Amino acid sequence: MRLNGGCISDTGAVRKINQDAVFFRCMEQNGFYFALGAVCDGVGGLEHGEMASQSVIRGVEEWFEEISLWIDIEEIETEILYAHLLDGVEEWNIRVRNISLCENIHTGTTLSLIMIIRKNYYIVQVGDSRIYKYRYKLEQLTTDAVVTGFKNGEMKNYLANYMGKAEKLWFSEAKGVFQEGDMFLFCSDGGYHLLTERDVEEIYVNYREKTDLSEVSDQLIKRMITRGESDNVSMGIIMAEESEIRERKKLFRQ
Amino acid sequence: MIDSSIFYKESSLEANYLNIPLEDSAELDEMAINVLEDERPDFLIPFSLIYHNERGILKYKLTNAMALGYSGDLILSKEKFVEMYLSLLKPFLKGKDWFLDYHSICIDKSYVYLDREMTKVSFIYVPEKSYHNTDDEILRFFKEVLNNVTVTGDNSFLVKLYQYFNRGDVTLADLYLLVKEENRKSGNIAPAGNGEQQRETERRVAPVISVSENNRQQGMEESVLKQKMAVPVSEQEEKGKRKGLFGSGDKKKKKSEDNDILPGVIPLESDPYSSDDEVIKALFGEDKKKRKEKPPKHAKEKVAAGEKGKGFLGRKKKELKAETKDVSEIKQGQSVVSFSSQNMQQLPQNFVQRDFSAGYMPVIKTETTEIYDDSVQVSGGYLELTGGVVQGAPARIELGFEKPFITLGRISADSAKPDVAFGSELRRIGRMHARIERNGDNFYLIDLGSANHTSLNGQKLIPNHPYLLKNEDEVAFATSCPVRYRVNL
Repeated sequence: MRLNGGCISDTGAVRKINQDAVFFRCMEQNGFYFALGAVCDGVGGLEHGEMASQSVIRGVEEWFEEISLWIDIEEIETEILYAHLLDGVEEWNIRVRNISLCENIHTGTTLSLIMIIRKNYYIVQVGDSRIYKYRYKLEQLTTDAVVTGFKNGEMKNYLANYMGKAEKLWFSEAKGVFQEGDMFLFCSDGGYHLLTERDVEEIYVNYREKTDLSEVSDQLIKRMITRGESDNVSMGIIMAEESEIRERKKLFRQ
Repeated sequence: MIDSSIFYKESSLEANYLNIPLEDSAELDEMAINVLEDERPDFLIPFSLIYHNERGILKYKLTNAMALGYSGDLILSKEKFVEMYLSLLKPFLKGKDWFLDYHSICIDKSYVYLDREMTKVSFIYVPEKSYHNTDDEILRFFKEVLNNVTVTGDNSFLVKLYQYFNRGDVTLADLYLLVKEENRKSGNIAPAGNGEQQRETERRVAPVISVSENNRQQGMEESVLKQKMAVPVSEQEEKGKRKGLFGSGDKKKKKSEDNDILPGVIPLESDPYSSDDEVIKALFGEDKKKRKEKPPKHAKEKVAAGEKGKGFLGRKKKELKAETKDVSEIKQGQSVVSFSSQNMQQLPQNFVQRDFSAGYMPVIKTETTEIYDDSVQVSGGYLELTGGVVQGAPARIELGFEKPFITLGRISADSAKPDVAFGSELRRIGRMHARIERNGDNFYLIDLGSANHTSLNGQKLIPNHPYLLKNEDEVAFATSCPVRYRVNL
């Protein structure tokens, strides 16, 4: 199995500031993979959401870099690594809290994070960004932390949880095993408001042989914006390439 | 002008890369690029020059290596340290044989890489003319490496090195010889693959003596053969340069002629490349033996002749000898190591050592799977909380457990409770922070890669490396707001 991935973030057609931030890094040792994908969406109703989202993504990046220095991907106990990841998530929550305190603002961000270690995936979810898995069928792996309320005659979703909300963070988790041919998609809410299963199917069928999945993410984003999405849009794709596709790519390169 | 602040990292599926963007006005060292792209020395990280949007980028492939600047202090046994330090020095002394300028080697510790055994160093070479480290900066780099390393087993050696640096007139060649002498005393033989040896004897003008015991004879023959070949023109040009880098070039030339070595080959006593004394003796005769026993003596003669080490890579043997003489016996430093080199040599033939880090318990490989014997009576011992009461921290951690290890960590609702549980209020302690492993009467502390680390006697531990616990050792969980324990065994 070979892992391929890419991500991109776009301010969108309407907003002036991009409060989203997205991240993907991958490391391979002797055919075993350690990868991290994350998307953060600064809470728009609060102040300077971009500071919060970028701070968390920076923390994710630092965490990945630190772990990548010593990790033995083949040998490491996945539960220990996951425990470290959760420690990191709590630490980043404190960072966002500290930004609020230091800057005398109230800020926050969502976080949807997927960690891949060998053939296992672990998800940490705070807020309403999403992670999907696709294999002939789209499956949402995360649960939106929203509550529904009635306002001005309309049903509206309210964000119930975000990084920086409280000193003690609560989050939801998911874990599982994936196989060759699975695709993960992680995106901010601007990426899924107007997304259909057909869009994902099209990527899976037509574009999974592409090497640069950041480009594919970008095309999907542009499609959302064309459809009228007004929010910032961020997307990332992780593909567990099948051997058959790898062989075809090799032949194509030759 | 290029400096390390513009370096940036990038990941792809194959590897992590370090990229150095080039300005439009960048002047590349074409010869160095040809050398590095076609036939890279093993002490440099491979790179390629690519163009992106008409902008040149030097792209270096990083594979499973740890930056020297990572995790603060290294704790190494003396043998490992010597091997590492020689590997650190090697490119600066050998680079010119590859037509490389040692001033262009990146000495930012964030971009100097150690392999997993922590004995082999790989450097980034920047083949751009504006990238230039001064000799002082290079020396400072070598001194800083000493400051960031704790050598276990023989602190006297480290003191010797410190004193050498403090005397002010440091040269890399002397430093290399000093460390090499210690390496020889420790019984280490610097390994070199056959490929390296063959490539070097084919290509190099100043041949490297084979360092492999098994290939010694073959290496000898090849080296002798190559030495008798004609000196290329480039070597003649190099000689002029070498005078400034290595001190007295003329003097060396004469010496080399005396010993029937081709001009341009640095004679043994100032040759930083030889690492196999028997081979050298066979090639250069009995004089070498005397020089081996008293290297400073030769230096004395040179000094007497009115020649002084010039430039950065020259030497002053006389002072070195005096310094060596003045070093008194040193007390044993704090011991994290469990095996001295002598003990290592007594281990059985089927011994497989997983890591040379101080305190590591070797794994003996057997053909049949052996069952862990947990019927052994465990001696008592405990870790005692120091520094007063800490809310959430157990006052005492018993070491009389029967299973192979216990895990220490913070309680959380989303994880299984660890064997030794710290309260949830101790945020700096990770869910799976550390482990204590038992092996007979010995206990080993292992940091599991927690974000806030673990330290032993003030030194931050490298993740997943076991460290022997001794009586009165101080363990701290988390480096900021640490929770400290004293070991009682």
